[in-house]
Amino acid sequence: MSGATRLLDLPEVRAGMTLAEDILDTDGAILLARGTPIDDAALLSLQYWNIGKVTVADAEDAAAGSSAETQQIEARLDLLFRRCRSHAASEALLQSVRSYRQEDAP
Amino acid sequence: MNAALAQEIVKRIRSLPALPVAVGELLNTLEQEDINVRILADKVALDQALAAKTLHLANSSFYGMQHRVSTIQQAIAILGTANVRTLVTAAAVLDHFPQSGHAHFNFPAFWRHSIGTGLSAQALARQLHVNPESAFLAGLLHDIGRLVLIKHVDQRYAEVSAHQAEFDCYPIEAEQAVLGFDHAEAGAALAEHWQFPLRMQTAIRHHHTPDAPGAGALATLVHVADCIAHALDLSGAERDLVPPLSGQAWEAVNLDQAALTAVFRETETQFDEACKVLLSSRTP
Repeated sequence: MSGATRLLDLPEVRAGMTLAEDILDTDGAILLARGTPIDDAALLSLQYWNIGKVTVADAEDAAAGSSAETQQIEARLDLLFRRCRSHAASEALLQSVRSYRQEDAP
Repeated sequence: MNAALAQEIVKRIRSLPALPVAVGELLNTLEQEDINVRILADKVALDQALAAKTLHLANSSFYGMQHRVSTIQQAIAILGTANVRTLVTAAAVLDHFPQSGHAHFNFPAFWRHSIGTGLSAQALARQLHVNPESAFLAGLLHDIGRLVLIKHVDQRYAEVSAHQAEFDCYPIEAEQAVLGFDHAEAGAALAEHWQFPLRMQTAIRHHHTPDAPGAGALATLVHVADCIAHALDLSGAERDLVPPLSGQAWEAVNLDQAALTAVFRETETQFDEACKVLLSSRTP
């Protein structure tokens, strides 16, 4: 999430993007924190607050982050299962833990 | 030589001090679903060390009580009867073993894996509608033989560790190669000496061999839980290894992905708390 960001006019902001900067009110209080995934409700709030421009995380960057995480999970599972892959049940357990981990990955 | 060593180890296990009578009684109530708080309190109160441990657990910061709990009945009400039986007996058993202090053995990883296996066995038991408390304890204590070996072969355990590192093999293979005796046999001998319920003795003996005749359902459950705890990487050991999973055991457990996900999640969710409670309950 530390990578590239883009400054967009509010009409260009879409659900599914991620906030790269805190959205503050005029007193400096945080309305929406950096890292918040933007959904339809957040879009409505941004309109309601008359926010003109929003900094979002670069989508490609976010995708690269999650694939790095997937690779890390994969490498660790390979190491843990290095001696038992030839057993069919062990392979089934590996698949099961892999789907569980991927479900949890961002 | 190896047969002689094996005999010597079993002889030493049999000369270990017995478990407190009250712990044995608690172990024997594990299969009773609806035990009365008063009966349980009476059993705990029989043994001063056990009573102290129960109060200590109930007063631990984890349960966050405003006022100090001073009676066993209150303590049991806070912990719940199920937790008293599992946590208190577990803590009493664990007190017999060192927590650290062997150059060639990773104690923190050992305890983390043991607790992970207990939780995973308990979660599996819930899915399979069998007694979760017996499953937790059998899972927690499945590798107890490893502590017996360390205590009694001491210097030679360095050779076991070296063998394991050199061949990147399973601990049980290294034990058999170097000592001609392994932690499953040592654990079973101890479980027998301490008169654990028979199902638990068998589960400890057969957690690597659940397909052996007479191994029983609890051995199957602990075997699968052991593999799951390794697969979830709970020990924290850098070069940990998932043991080969028996196809027969996997089929016997027969859970779909949704049920397995529930088991994985329950195990991971409870893990940090369980480590805190169990490892802090040890008598300093």
